[in-house]
Amino acid sequence: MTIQTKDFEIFSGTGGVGKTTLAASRAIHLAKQGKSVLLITIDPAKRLRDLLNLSVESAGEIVKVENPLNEDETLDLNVQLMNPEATFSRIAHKSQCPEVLDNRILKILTKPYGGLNEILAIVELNLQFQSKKFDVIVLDTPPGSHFLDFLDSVERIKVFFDQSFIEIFQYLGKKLDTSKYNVGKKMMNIIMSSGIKKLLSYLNKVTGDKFIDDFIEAIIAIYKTKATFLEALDLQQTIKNDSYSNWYLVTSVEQNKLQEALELKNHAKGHFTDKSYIAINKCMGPELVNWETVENSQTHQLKNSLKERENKLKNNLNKHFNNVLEFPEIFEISPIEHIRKLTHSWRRYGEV
Amino acid sequence: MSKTKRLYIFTGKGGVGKTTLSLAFTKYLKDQGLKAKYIFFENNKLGEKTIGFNDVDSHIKDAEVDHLPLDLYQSAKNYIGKKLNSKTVASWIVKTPFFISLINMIPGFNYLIYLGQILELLDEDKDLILVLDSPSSGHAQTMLEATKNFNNIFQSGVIYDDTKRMLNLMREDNFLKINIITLPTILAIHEAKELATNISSHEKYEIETFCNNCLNTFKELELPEFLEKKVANESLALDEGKSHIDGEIPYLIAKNNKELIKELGPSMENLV
Repeated sequence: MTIQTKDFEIFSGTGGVGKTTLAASRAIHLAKQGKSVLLITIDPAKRLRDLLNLSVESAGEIVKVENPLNEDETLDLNVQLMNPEATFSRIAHKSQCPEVLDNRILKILTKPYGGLNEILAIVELNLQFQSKKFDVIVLDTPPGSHFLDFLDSVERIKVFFDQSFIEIFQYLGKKLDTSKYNVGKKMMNIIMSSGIKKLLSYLNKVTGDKFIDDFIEAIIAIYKTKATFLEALDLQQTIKNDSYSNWYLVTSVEQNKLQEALELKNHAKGHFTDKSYIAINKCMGPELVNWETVENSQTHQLKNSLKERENKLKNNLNKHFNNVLEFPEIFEISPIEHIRKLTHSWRRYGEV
Repeated sequence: MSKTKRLYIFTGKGGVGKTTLSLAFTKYLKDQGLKAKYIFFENNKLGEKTIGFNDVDSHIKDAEVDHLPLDLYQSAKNYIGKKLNSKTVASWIVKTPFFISLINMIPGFNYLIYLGQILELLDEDKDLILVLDSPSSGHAQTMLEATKNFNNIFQSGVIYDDTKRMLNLMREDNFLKINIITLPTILAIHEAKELATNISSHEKYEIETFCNNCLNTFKELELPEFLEKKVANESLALDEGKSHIDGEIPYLIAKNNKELIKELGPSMENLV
């Protein structure tokens, strides 16, 4: 089986399966072929940092990692650790309204665990794609159901701007542009007279006045940056198209996550197609076959238990997926050795 | 055995065995004669059917534990209904497109309401012990930080008072314990340490870290070279990380889930 490189190489998985390492090794493999590669991780644990010796301070910025495998000085790789604050700051500057960054509520919500991670990730991906600086963007998505949040976030942006904003802004009309930041009671009154007035009046009962002011300001701030959010909607169509994207669903022998892998596949319908790949990581098959044990001994039981675990997963996945890739368990303690060997194993699926 | 807490949150990277361990742990507490219930953190969205991983239901059945189904939609309705003294208004609010899309845009608020519901259940029944199986470390962090974030967002009013009450409850001695589950590799242990540091940088909750699926119980056996290497790597990782690992849980050769949960029993005392 050979894999044709696409504009987007997207890695998703059930978590703890070596997805980030595999994405990084794919990125290095492509860089080795002379491509200009950007590797983006939105994995909150920032595993790449450990692997590629990146610092926390650089989060959100694109960092050029020179000679990542320590074996070729001409090889470099661009890496970006997703950071919601940095993305939101880029959005604000792009929309020429940096003052929105001062909003108290948005400041809290754009913290790394503030809850806007996935939505901002899709915006960031779009910003990088539009920059046209890279041949390939390798994306390492967050594990499991977080990944579904990531796919759904586009839909959520759409619903948010379509329904909520129409509800609010059809009443505000042009007043929005002239009123600038004159929120407080006046804006409150305008909003109260709109279709959501009942809702906000209930909200006012349970929250302080200060919150309502900040809340309206936050909504106006998001509205001002609307264009950038909405542009990200088109990206979903692009990444869904299999002439633009390779999707890899990563799973591992070490974790019996067949059910979750299938759930992910089902839920991500329209993203995972017949052309998508499933990668089984940490296979020990060849080693286990060559291991001679005495019948009924404890070692024999262990061997069978490990073998059964691996075979069960492989058989099931072959039933449900067309393109199954296998990657070996790597018995290296040093992360760089680990990634070097993994990078090497992409060769067997190399382009012709 | 240390004193039993009221709420246990199992977290860690996906696929490290959180569901199996939190079920085995709930079973262990139940076997001690305690009123322990298992909650699977359903990451559903308002206005949508629950996604839910199907195999959880059969795992719960295998473990023979009590399961507390908690639905975000109901939680939100209950909460708003209580605050406004009207169930009718609450069911109207949770159906408005504005509310649904707002809450879906800001998942942290979901988690706040969800956690609020859990804490209320614990407050109502003083014998109840809840074991929360959370989907992944990112979600757990968002949930734990939500209380504080929204406390800062609101600054006054009824929700502010509630978040303050929630924080106070979680800060009580012997109330909350977070069990971080990880695997015996250097990367996984680093990540677990990072997670513990992140959580405790916000609040000083009781946190312990456990390594699951340790093969080192087999090290006395005559193993082939590749497995010897694997076990050696594992020992190195465990040794390097020993200052922040509170226990090891062995890889078990079990025929099925039911048997696995039973065999895990003796290892569960450490997690209390």
